[in-house]
Amino acid sequence: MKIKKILASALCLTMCLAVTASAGFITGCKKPSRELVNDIVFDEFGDPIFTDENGKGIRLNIQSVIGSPDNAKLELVNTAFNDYYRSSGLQAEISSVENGVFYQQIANTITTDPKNAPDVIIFHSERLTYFASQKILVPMDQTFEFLGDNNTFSTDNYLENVIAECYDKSGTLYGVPLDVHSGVWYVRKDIIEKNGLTMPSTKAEFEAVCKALMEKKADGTLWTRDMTAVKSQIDALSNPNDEQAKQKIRESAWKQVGADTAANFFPVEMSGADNIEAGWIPQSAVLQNGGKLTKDDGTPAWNTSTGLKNTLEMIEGWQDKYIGANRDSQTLFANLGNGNAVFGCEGPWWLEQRLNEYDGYLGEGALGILSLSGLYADNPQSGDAHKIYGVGHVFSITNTAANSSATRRVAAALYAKFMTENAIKYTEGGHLPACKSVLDNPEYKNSTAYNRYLKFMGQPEDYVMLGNTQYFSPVYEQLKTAYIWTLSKNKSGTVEEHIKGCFDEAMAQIKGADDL
Amino acid sequence: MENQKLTTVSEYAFKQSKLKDFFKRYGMALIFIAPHLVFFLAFCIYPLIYGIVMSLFKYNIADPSQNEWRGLGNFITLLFKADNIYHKEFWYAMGNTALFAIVIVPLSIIIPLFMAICINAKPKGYKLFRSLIYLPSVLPVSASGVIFTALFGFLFGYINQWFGVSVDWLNSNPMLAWLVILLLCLWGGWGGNFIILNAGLKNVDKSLYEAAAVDGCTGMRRALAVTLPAIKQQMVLCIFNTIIGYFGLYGQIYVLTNAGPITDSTNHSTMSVMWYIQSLINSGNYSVYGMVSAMGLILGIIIGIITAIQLIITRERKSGTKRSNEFAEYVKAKGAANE
Amino acid sequence: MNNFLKASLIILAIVIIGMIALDAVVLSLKRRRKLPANRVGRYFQQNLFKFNAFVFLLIFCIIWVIPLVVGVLGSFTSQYTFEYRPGQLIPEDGFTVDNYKHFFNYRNSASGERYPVERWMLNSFIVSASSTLLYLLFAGLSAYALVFMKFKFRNVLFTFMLFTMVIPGVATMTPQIANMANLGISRSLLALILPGLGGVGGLYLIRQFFLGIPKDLIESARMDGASDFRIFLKVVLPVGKSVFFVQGLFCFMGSWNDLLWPQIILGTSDPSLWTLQVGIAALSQSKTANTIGLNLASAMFSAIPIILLYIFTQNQIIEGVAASGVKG
Repeated sequence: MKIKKILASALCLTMCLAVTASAGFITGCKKPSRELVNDIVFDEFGDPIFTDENGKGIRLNIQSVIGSPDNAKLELVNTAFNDYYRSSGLQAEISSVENGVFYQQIANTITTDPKNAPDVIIFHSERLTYFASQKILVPMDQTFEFLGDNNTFSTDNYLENVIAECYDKSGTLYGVPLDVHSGVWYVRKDIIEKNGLTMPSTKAEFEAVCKALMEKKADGTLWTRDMTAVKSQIDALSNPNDEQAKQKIRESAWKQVGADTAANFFPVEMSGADNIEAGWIPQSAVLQNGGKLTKDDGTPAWNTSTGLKNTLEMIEGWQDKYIGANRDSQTLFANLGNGNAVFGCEGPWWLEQRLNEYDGYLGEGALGILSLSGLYADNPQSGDAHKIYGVGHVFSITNTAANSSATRRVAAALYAKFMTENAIKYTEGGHLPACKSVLDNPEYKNSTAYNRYLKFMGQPEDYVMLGNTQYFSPVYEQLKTAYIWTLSKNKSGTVEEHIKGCFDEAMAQIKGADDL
Repeated sequence: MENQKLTTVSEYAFKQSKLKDFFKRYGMALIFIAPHLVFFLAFCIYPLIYGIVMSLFKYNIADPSQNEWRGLGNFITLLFKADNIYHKEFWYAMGNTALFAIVIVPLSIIIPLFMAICINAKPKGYKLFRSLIYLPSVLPVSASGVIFTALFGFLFGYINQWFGVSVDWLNSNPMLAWLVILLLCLWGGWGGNFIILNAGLKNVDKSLYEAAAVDGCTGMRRALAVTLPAIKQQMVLCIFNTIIGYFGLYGQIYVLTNAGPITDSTNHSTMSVMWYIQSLINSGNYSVYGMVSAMGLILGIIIGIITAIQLIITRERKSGTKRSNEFAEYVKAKGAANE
Repeated sequence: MNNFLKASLIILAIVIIGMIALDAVVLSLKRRRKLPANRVGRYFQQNLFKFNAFVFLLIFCIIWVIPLVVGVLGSFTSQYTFEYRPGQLIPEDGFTVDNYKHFFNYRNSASGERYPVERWMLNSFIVSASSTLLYLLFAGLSAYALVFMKFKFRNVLFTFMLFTMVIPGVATMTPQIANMANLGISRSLLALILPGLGGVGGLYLIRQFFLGIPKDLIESARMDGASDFRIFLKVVLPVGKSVFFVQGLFCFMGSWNDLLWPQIILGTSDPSLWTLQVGIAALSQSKTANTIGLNLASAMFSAIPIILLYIFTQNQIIEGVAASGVKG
């Protein structure tokens, strides 16, 4: 009886298998081809024609990982593109997708969902080498070559250090870089200067400032000012333009505090649950001391960096000395505002908003901006001391069925070129442009964004990227983890042990992925 | 010749009527099960087979040309190769999940059973109590997770403020984090079992209770000997659902701790199997899908083994013909004694 | 420790000790048959267990409801209260509707347009309602066929379906995505409705219930000459009202609360296509709005329709369960 049951189940199973396998085969066969079809038609000026016989133009579908608040700035550049190319029938639309969802979905979408796959993607350039190896991107340089003599795209127009990230292992260009940025220190410059100190520019100076502030706190001679109090008073003014009254309020807000009145004062805001600075500071520490982040084969090279070790040990020593307990991204700007902190490391996309706030309530110059350059170098004189770890966004053309048409590819390439060359408005979001023509453009140099904050973000040539590695996740994430472990209360052990542990984990992950 | 023709015709007619008969008899049944069966085949079986096939390859969803045949390689790695990172993490997660399930399944059956018995006694206002008990289960996990984060938060959480303590529930000790996850699972998970057991209790034949009362069996004894066996079907269903459910634990962990506090031994101390699988899918490595499917299959097989064991055990405990045999012998013995 | 908390703990202790004492007294009196014959005595004679159950349930439910109360009150609490007067259920500074207002007016910062929050509710509702109704229909028909109609592979088919239930959904997620794309429905609400229609869990529940329906009900209807379809409509559906309601509630809830699958399918598409859970998850990921109050408000918002549905249908469930058709 039982055997009969098992047999009947097996029969059922094979029946189902047959039915479903055939169904799968039929539907699978329908996949459209991704082979390149050269269907470009040129007009009398040598420019490609983007409208077909029915007059229908090309509409590019872009997916971007750039989120708020800077995606609004990118939208401005996109509008300019649409205005410029409207007459030729080429239009583009950007949809902003959340980081995690984007990376999870993109490969699957490109290979299985032709209708909804984007034509161009804007993503982080550290992943480009991997994406290229998975054949979901289309070579950029070859696409530009379709334009023949009219091609004005040149890799020389982009910063070498940034566009280096846009090649794959074999040296083919797969993307056009948009920008580069790193974390910045938001600094209560007014507090520093009121206490008779100056803005630091090296590792030793940074620590000295913190030390001096804490000594003043112990003495009871620390000057600090709460912006929220100033804010409520200024907001209550009957005449919002009364500069004299505002100045009075600002002056009177200064208080001299000590250990009991300012128990919560700790100069440095770092870490906490979000560890956003883990993605910039350890990497910069490696680079500024002559180290490298990746080897030629793509495996991590940061484990041998003494600069990393020294910086992490320094930060470990700052815990409970200069860094307060229980900090996270929510408390960073709050504490900076109410004078309980002086240095806070965050992303540059908040610069415009925060500067508006501080300029309005505390006056211009109250909020200082410090780039990471030189702050982690053991030897401030060395040539590497100014390097900053850079994160960049890149435009790439996806290898979809729709993009098998060369006309569409060329349209996408021209989109990438236009957006990167006209990125001035986008830089207001706190990003340095990767295109030299933007950097040299007087409009950029004279823009408010540049003069208020972009020029404090260090030299664009000093930015160093992750490097062309297949294993961006083990290399990058495990370095972040070493930093997180250093600041975690649950982890015991020395900094060296943490670095080694993370390195071993990275190598195990790489080996696991290779052995798959 | 005529004979042959007759035979052929009658055979033909016979065959036709057989077919007609088949459809007459089974046609209706086919129509009835067709809609569900079609969707079942298309959306359950097909992905399942696809998944099984995927697990036999190194499957790359971005670039299918990089697929390689692995045969049982993925399974061998997961089951035997102790130095492989997937093996280590998978079994660590499995250990966590299994331990959690063992701890929580008894709690998830016994206490709702007790509540159902209490409700069944129909005290005043039992309808209100019943709906209150089920209410947290209808909330989505994200909502109840948010409530629990607000309750157990470190700086501003309600529990810390009310009791005047300063315990970091979610970020310091993995045991504390597991405790919070357990509480969330219980709060949001009892409802289903409770309703099923309650429905079962309601359907118990009243005559059973009367018979028990006649025999003088009341209270606790009655609950054990009469009520429990009567709702056996529902209990089995509950245990079945609960085990499967808690082996698939994911949402609560994602919302509360995201695999939890860093400890000296691991970065993910409250990791469950589902969470691990999900994190692999999100890891950005597109070649890992074969291994992920293999993990899912192994998980499924383990769950299947557990349910099979449990079905066998409950079948043995079933009285079956034991009681009726005893009764027959009792009657026989009485009859013999009477003579 | 909070004074209010201290007081309530003391009351709890008193009640528990009182109940234990009461039980001991009554039980010992019962055993010695010395229970007084007045009203109180008679009450305890018959209803001791009921009384115990009542007190126990009362205490349990009070504790049980606390997180829900926290959730509701917290969603009306301002961020200021959370930071400066933490732990206050009833904030000194008063309640505020700001969290809900913020939630309704949440803007997509790229396009400046307001997120269509009501559209999300509508989408969720459409998906949940249609998948529930369709599933009840299909599973009901299927369960009827599996129980009341004799055909050869009846039990084998069901056992086979049961076996496939143990494979977790996650292992089949990637092939399912490919499936959707092949069928061409990948960015629509259909992709949310259709996969659930093949589910086996509900079928199991309904079949279990049908197994418990007395066979003579069906036989008498058959003898009256009714076709199977009529039997299904006129006999089985009314009798099975309770299980349909219960399964319907499970279905609706499962579909409404589902976050993972809709996020995968719809996450990268037009916000007007999102379901409520996807939208709320997107809001809580945003860099600018991750406060406790807002999260609680959005959580409550997503839960309220389901709670309302539950309140209104639970009466049917109770009534349905109480009725049990023909008695043998």
